[in-house]
Amino acid sequence: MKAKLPIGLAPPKRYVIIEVKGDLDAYKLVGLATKAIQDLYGVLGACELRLALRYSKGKRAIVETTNRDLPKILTALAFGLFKSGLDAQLRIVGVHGTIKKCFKNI
Amino acid sequence: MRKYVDLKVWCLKSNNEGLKNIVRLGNEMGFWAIGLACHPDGLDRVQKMTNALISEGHRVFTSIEVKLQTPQSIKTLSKLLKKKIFLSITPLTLEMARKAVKLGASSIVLPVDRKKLIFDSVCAKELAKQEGAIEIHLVDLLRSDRRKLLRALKMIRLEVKIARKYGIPVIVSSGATKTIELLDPIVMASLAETLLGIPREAALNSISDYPYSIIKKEGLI
Repeated sequence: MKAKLPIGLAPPKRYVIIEVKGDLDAYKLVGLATKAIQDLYGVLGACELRLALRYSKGKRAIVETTNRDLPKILTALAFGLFKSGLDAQLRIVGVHGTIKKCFKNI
Repeated sequence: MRKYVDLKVWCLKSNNEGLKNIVRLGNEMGFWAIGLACHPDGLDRVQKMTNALISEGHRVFTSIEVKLQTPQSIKTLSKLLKKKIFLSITPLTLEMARKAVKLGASSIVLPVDRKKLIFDSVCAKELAKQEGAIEIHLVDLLRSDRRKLLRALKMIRLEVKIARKYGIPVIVSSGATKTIELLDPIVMASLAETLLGIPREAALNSISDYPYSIIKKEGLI
C-alpha cells in the first residue's frame, strides 16, 4: 500500500535528463552525487532532499527530484563530478514535470 | 528568452582549433556569448584568435584578468583600461581591493584561496559609484577541497550579501580551464543559488542579464 500525503505537503516533482560525457557513466554519477549531498548539506539537509534514479542507460539517466530541491541536486551532481577527478562533463538535456515527457525527449 | 553569457573560459594553451571547439560546445550548451580569458601577457595572442573567431561569425570577446598584488601592477592596468576588452581585477588583499574598485574595471573577482575578507562596505560604496560588478569563478569553488571550500564560502557569501545591499550586480562565470570543465547554464545558476545564497531570479541574472548588459555597454559584442 502506498502512503498518502496531505495536499500541499508534497512539492511538485521534477524529472531531470542528465547526460555524462567522458570517463564516467550516469549511474555512477548519481552515486557520487548522493555522497556529495551528505558532504555539502549534512545529515539534516540531506534528509529533506529528494534524489532518485528513475532510469539509466549508458551515458544518459533520468533523475527524480522536486521543484524545491532542483538547484541543490544539480549542485550535488556538479560536485560529485568534480570530486571524482575524472575527465567527464555533465550536460542537462532537459527538466520536465512528468517522466513520460522525459522518455519522449530521450 | 535569456541570453546566457560565460565571461571567462581560460584559453591558456588552446590553439585556434581548441578555441573553436570550446565555442561550439558553449553554443550547444546554450551560451549566447563566451569570453575568452587570459592574463595580460597573453593578450595579443588571444585577441588575434578572438578576431579570427568573430570573422567566422562566432559571438566571442576577449576577457582579461589581472591579479593585484602590489601597487606596481596598477601601472599595467592603466594601459589595459584603454583597450576594448572585458577587464577584471583580482585583488588579493583588502588594501588592494580598495584601490581596485576606484580604477573603473568591468568587474572585481573574489578569489577563492584566501584567509581574509577582501570586499567590505567601503569597497562596495565605491564600486556602486563606478557601476562595477563582483565576479565569482565557479570551477575554482568546485575544485577546492572541503576545508578550503568552507572557508571560501564563509567569506564569499558575506561579501555577496554586502554587494547586494549596495545594489552591486553579482556575476558568476565558469572560469573553466579545459573543455570538460564548461558548465551548463542551468548548473551555473543552481550553483550560484546554492553556494552563494542568492535568490533564483538573481542567480539567473548573474549569468544572463548582468554580464550581457556589461558587454553591451562596453561595446564588446
